[in-house]
Amino acid sequence: MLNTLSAFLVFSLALGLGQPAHAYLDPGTGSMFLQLLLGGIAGALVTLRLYWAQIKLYFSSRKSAKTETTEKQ
Amino acid sequence: MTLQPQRDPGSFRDPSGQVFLVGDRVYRAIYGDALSEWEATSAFVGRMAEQGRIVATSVAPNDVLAAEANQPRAVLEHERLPFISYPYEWSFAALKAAALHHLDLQLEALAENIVLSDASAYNVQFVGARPVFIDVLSFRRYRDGEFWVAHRQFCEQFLNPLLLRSLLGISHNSWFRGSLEGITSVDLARLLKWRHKLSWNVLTQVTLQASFQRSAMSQKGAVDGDKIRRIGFPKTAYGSMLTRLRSWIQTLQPADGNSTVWRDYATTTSYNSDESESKRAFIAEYAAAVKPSMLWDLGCNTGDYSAVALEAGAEYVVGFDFDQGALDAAFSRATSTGMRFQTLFLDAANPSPSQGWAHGERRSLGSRANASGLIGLALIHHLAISRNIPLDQVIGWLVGLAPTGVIEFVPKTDPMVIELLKLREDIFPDYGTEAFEAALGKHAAILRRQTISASGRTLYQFDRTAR
Repeated sequence: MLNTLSAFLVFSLALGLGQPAHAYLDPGTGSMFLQLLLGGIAGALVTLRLYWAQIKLYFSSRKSAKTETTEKQ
Repeated sequence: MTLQPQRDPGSFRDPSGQVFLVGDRVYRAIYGDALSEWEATSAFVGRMAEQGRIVATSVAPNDVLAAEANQPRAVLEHERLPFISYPYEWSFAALKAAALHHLDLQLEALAENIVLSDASAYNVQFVGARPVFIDVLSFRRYRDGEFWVAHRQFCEQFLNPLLLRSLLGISHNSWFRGSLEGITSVDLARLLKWRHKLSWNVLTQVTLQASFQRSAMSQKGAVDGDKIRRIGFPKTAYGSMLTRLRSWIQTLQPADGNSTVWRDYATTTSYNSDESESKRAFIAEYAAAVKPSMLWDLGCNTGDYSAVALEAGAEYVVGFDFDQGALDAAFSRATSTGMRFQTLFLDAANPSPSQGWAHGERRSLGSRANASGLIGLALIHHLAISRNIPLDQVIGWLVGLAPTGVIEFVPKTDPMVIELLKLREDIFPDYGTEAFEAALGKHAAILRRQTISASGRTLYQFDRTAR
C-alpha cells in the first residue's frame, strides 16, 4: 500500500514539476520528498488551526451575543 | 626545526577546509568562500565552545601552515581531545547522546539562522561521556526555504543505527563498521515488521523515506531537483522536524533490555568481598604510583575499576568492553558522575582496522593507541581460551598497548575458566601461571604480584620500560 502511495506521490510531484531534466537522481531524493510531504502537512496543520480558531471565534461570539441577549431579557 | 603540517587523512570531503596536525597541535585551514560563512557563524560557535558543546577553537596565525602549497584564507586551532573514536565504537547510549547533541546544536543554530551542512556522526567526539562537536566549518548561514540537506545522512548515521537496536535488538557496531556511511533507510525498512510501522515516526522517517527513495530511483529522469528546491521547505517545518526527531530519539531504548539487567548487576554485585577489595587496592596503588595521563581499561564492564583508578590518580580512562549492556551502564555512570571516563565497544580479538578511503580515513585502534597505563582484569581467559589466541600473543598485544599496567591472570582452577572449558576439549595444556609469568617476563618487568582469590586469580603489575 505504501509503495503505491509513494509511487503516486512521486508520480504526481513529477507531473506537477513538468519536464524531466535530469537522468541522474540525487541519492537524497527520498529525504527531499519526505520533507516536501512533512512540510506540506505542517502547512496544512497551520491552515487547519487558523480555520479552527475562526470557527471557535464564530461560535464563541455567537454564544456571547446570545448570553448578552438573554441578559437583556 | 619547524614541524611539517600533516594532513589528516580523514578530512578531505569538504572543500571548505582541511585539518592538519603540526606536532601535537590541531589546525583547521579555511579555503575560499568558507571564510565568509565562518565569519557569519563564529560568534555562535564561540558561545557553544564556551559551554563545552563544540571543541575549543581559536584563530591561529596563517603562517603555521606556510609550508602548504594550497594557502588557506584563515587558520583555526582546536583543542586536542583525549581520544578520537568512531560511531561504530560507541554503545547505544553514546550514539544516542551524540544524536541528541547534534539535534540540540542544530535547533539552537536554526534559531539564529544558522544550519549544519552535514550530519556526519564522525563530527561528534566524546570527552568522558560528554559529546563535543568538532567540525566548526559545517556551520553556515540558513538560506530561505532550504531543505534540511543532511537529513538523509542524519538518518543513516544516527537514527537508523539507533532504531536497529531499539526496534530489533541488534547492535549497530558491526554493520556501521562495515558500512562507514551508516545504515540506509532502504536497508532498515526491509527488516521492519508491520507492528513497527504503526508508529508515525517509523512510518514517515523510515518506511516512507525508503519508499520515496526506491520509487524515485525506479522513475528514472522523472524528477527535477531545481523545481523541488523551488517549492522549498518552510523554516517552521524544518524546526519542527528537528524537534520531533529529538523527542522521539530521547525515548528510544534498546529492545533487548540488556541495559537494565546490567544496571542491576552494577548495583547488586557485591563490592565488599575480599576479592574485589584486594583488586581495588591493587589498582589504586598502581594508579597512584604511575598517575597515567591516559589509562586504557580493557574489559571495563560497568567501570568499577576505572572509577578506582581515576580516584587514585589516573587523569583519563578509556574503557573498552564487548558487552553492550555493560557499556551502556558504564556510559550512564560516566554521564551521571561526570568522571573522565570514555567507554567504547571492543572485540579485543578483532579491533577496529584502518579503513575508508585509501585505508586512511578511519584509523585503526592500534594506530590511535596513546595509553600510558593499562588495566586488563578478567580478560586473559576470554582471549586465550574462548578465542584460542596463544597466551604469549595475548600478553604481547596487551603489553604493546601501554608501557605500564596491571593484568589479571585467571587460572584453570577458577570457576569461570572451568565454565569455559565445560563443553569443549582442553587444548590448552600450557595455560597456567608458569607460562603466564614466563610470557609476561619476556615482554616487561614484573614489578609486583598478588593472588586475590582462593581460586588462584593473580594480579601482576608490569613495566615494559624498566626492562
